[in-house]
Amino acid sequence: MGRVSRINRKKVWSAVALVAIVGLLLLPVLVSLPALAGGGAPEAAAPPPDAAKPPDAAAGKDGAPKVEKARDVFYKTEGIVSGAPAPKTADNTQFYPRYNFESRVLLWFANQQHLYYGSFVLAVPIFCMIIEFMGIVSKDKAMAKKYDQLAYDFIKISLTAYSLTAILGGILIFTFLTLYPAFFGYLSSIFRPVMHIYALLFVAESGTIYIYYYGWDKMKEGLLKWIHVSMSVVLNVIGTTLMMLANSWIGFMMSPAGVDEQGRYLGNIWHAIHTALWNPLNVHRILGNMAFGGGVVAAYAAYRFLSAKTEEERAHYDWMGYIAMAIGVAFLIPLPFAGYWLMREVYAYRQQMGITLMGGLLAWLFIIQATMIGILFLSSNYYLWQALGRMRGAEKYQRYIKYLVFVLVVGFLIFITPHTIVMTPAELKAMGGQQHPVLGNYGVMSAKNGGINVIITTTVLSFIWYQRGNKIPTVSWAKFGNIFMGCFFGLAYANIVWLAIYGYYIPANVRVGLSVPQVATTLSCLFFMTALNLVMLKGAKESGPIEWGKISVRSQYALIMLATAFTWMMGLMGYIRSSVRLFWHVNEIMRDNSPWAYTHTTGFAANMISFNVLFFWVTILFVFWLGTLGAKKVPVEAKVAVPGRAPQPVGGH
Amino acid sequence: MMILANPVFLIGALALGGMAVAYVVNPAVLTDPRVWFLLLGLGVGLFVYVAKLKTDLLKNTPVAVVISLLIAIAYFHIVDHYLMDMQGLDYWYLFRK
Repeated sequence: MGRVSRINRKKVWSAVALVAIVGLLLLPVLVSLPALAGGGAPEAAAPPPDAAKPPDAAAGKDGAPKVEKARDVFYKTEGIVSGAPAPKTADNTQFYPRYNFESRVLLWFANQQHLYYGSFVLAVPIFCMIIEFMGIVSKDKAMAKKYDQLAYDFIKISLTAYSLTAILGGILIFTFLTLYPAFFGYLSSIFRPVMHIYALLFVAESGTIYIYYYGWDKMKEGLLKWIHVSMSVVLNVIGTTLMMLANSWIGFMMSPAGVDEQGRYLGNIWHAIHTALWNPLNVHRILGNMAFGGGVVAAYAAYRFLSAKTEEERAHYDWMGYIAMAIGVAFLIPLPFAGYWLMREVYAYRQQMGITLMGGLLAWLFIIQATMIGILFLSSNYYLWQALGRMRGAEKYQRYIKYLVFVLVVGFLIFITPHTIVMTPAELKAMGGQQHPVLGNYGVMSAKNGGINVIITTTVLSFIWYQRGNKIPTVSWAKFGNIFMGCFFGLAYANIVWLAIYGYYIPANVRVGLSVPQVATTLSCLFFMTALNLVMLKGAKESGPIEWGKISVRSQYALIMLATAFTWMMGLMGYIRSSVRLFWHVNEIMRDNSPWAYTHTTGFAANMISFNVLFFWVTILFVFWLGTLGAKKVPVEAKVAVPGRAPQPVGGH
Repeated sequence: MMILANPVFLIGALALGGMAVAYVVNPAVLTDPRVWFLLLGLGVGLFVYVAKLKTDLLKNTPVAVVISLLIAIAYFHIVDHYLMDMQGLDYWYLFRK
């Protein structure tokens, strides 16, 4: 009786604690609400020598404060001028203090590293949330423990990276303050209310992540476990809000709103946050972070697999790598569509900006991006084909893989074909123009949309084959289901290719819309066929177990390749997104008059991105190594948790 | 040859054939989305009929192919038509010209 009341008391206290945590987390937002409503008119920071006095300080002839109104550059609404104009900078040390080094490169480095780690620590808790939840709802006790351990392993890696993220964030702010004070002052003057929220949310996230990590063992059963997993939800809500706030700043730099044409703040912070590109950036970054986080964790698992000493260890890290890769690829598949939406919005906002990106100065970087996307999908497919090798019964698919390779390679080659080629005058003359008479036809969006959709559809097909690798459907309509699936995939390929070809015969303003049904075709395969496959595999006969750990070493290098390609592509796309502003700090509002307001050569940018990637991987390897130090302390306990049992997947893996 | 006499196969094959002929002779007919909804409905209807009343035909390859083609072709045409229409664009631009 006493024990029951003690448990009930614990439950009540747990609920009270959760409510208190949520309340404390929401407190900064509630406190800042008056500021959000427009009460917190930002002040101009770092005003230029000729800056006007704040308008509300000026008085009219009758002594009443003079209210000046102006029009929002984007929303076209009228608002009361509540800030000073954007500083008019000049190439001197007052506006651009400097070391004997290119300030932009220093800022680039600090920004990129902070972003890598930030993405990682935002993505991994989302994985933890999903995996911990899977553990709670799993009916198989052994599997539940395995999922729980996996989620714990993930958060352990994330925690060390979290400290590094905070340190890099500090370095980034100091870099801004010391090298670009006028710009940073202006930006923080616009976003002052949300910058405080950002800082407070960061504190809240730190608190939550530490309680979440250190409370793992104390909150491992019953209601406490549910409270624990609820904390991961809170943690992710905070993390996502943080990311969206940071996105609003870069959105403002690319497509400003909430200010007049002189850059004067008009008192509506929501307009400054909710710019034309904010939502596409949010969606693109959430998906990108998840794919990147999955890639990094998969690389960690691959590293641990390759250095494993026992069969058990190898099996565990093989399984971990597979789960991380599956999550990463699940978010990689919709990523090109989110990117496409972002580009569409860029074109809609400023057509010239879109042309600079995809048809002008930065177009060659998009060819590199296409190559990286192709590598990502090829690596994912290669891993899945290798993974078929650890299943008995999956041999039946091996002989078809060569056809998938062919389709993937054709799609990839079309996807990376440039519209025009950089040539010497002699080469130009020999070819009869900048465009190759045959290959040049593949350098247009119509062909490229077809190429990437074929690649993604093939990846979906590979995944479905993997899912049924060691299973034989036993439902009465299995034959019909297989035929339907084959017809649906065949016609999906036909529709994608048809739409790509059709695009050559219709005007550009109609053609541009064809990408939407192409994407819908690919997504139909993803959702409908995966669902159909899962229904067909219900109660399926197993032709053999999945032998975790019995996978080729090459597959693990594919995972490392996947993670490296993600990292490189993130660096590349960040550079492209930032460079498109050309000589503007804030597009068409605040001009960049520093000596570095020019676009680097593709070669320099590639070297810089490679350096950032290398630095990130060296430091993350250090983080991995720290993780192994912690693991070495509890080898005996870990074994006791699942005695003598090689890790096995759940039914549906 | 036996399969040719099967009404399910026959109806499905005729619908597919009719569609192919329409593409060649008078594509303008196909620009009406109701045609595709009709074909989709026919495909789904045949499937429901087979699944409920003629379960032995579920294992019949030609019947499965015909029904699958009907459903998938109609579905992709509807996707193409409406997703272009939602953007204010005409998917049948070339066919109308």
